[in-house]
Amino acid sequence: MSVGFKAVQWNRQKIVYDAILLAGVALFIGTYMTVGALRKPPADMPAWIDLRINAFGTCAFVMLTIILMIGPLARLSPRFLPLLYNRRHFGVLTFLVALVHAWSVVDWFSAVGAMGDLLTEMTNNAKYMQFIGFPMKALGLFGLTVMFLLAATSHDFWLAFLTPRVWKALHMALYVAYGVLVMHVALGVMQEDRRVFIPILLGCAFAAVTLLHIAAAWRERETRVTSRGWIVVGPPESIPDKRARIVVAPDGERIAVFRDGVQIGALTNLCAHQNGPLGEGRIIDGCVTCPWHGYQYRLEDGCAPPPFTERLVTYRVRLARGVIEVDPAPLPPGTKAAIAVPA
Amino acid sequence: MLWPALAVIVAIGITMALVWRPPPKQPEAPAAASSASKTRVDALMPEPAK
Repeated sequence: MSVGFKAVQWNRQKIVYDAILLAGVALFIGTYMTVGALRKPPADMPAWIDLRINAFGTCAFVMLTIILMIGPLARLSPRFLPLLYNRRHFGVLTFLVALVHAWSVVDWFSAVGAMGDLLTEMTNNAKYMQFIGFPMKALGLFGLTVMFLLAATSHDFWLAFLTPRVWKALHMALYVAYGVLVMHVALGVMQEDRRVFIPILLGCAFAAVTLLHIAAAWRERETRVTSRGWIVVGPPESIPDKRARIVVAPDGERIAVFRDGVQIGALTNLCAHQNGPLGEGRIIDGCVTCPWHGYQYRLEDGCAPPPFTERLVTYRVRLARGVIEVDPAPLPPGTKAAIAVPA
Repeated sequence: MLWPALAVIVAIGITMALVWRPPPKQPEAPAAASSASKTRVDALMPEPAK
């Protein structure tokens, strides 16, 4: 709900989510450093810092890969929806882990008394013309800068200030940052360390993110349109009760078709708050509830219940020969359009 | 089409980075290193008195 402003709207689910996140990061880094130190005991302080660089860098890359997998996984199966919830905290924590990685790199150059070498590496123009030998730290710095921008603008204040459209477009830059960071690893540690598992893990992480997005997009392409332009959804029982099926209009707009018992209605898939994926939410207390921040709307007309004022675009639905169809032409926000089907 | 293009560019980048990896550095032969060092030091040493 949107009335009033609270810095952080904590609830039990968010606290549990964050606790699991922090425990996971601590376990990953602790295990990495312990195993690394046992396998090859660091001889001096720079060697310890080197181990820290690798531990935090690997952790940040794994976290970023998981973050980018959550979206398509949730679109493919509602079982992954709990991961979608509070993903912003996941992103901010990933930035902090990456920041420790970057600070450790500076710390290493400081410890060996070679800060000048770091500066030279970052400012050597000739190296920027090479592929192998490209200053990989510059790629890392670019990725870190993007992650900082996203973490700094993750608060709702920035969403309101930038408008949801601009905010979402800005946060799509995470995909660009991921591509750059994949190359940061490929041109960095993969060149120095010849062990075969590094390119395999890097390739698998990138392939997993790519293939999951392709699979989610492919599933949404399976949209049938009748001769009169209505989108075929399927029999009423093909829509899970209290949940939605998402269909894609010819213009690319996603429509969430919800079923609440015998009532079926279609709303835009974009939440009025942050353009969150409404169709991945469910009906709670009779209202369609966004999975991101719990904004609620009535299924019958797309209006938030009083005293809230948000209104969503709705779509006409009909039952034709036992099959639910949706008219892809949007109705004005707040228009009643839901229907009741025979039980 | 922006995202598929980005994915293809990164996939090509990973492949090129893997294919063009320089061969692993051979450890320097200790004898050669000490010889070179010795030669350079010797050059700085004054001629022994005859």
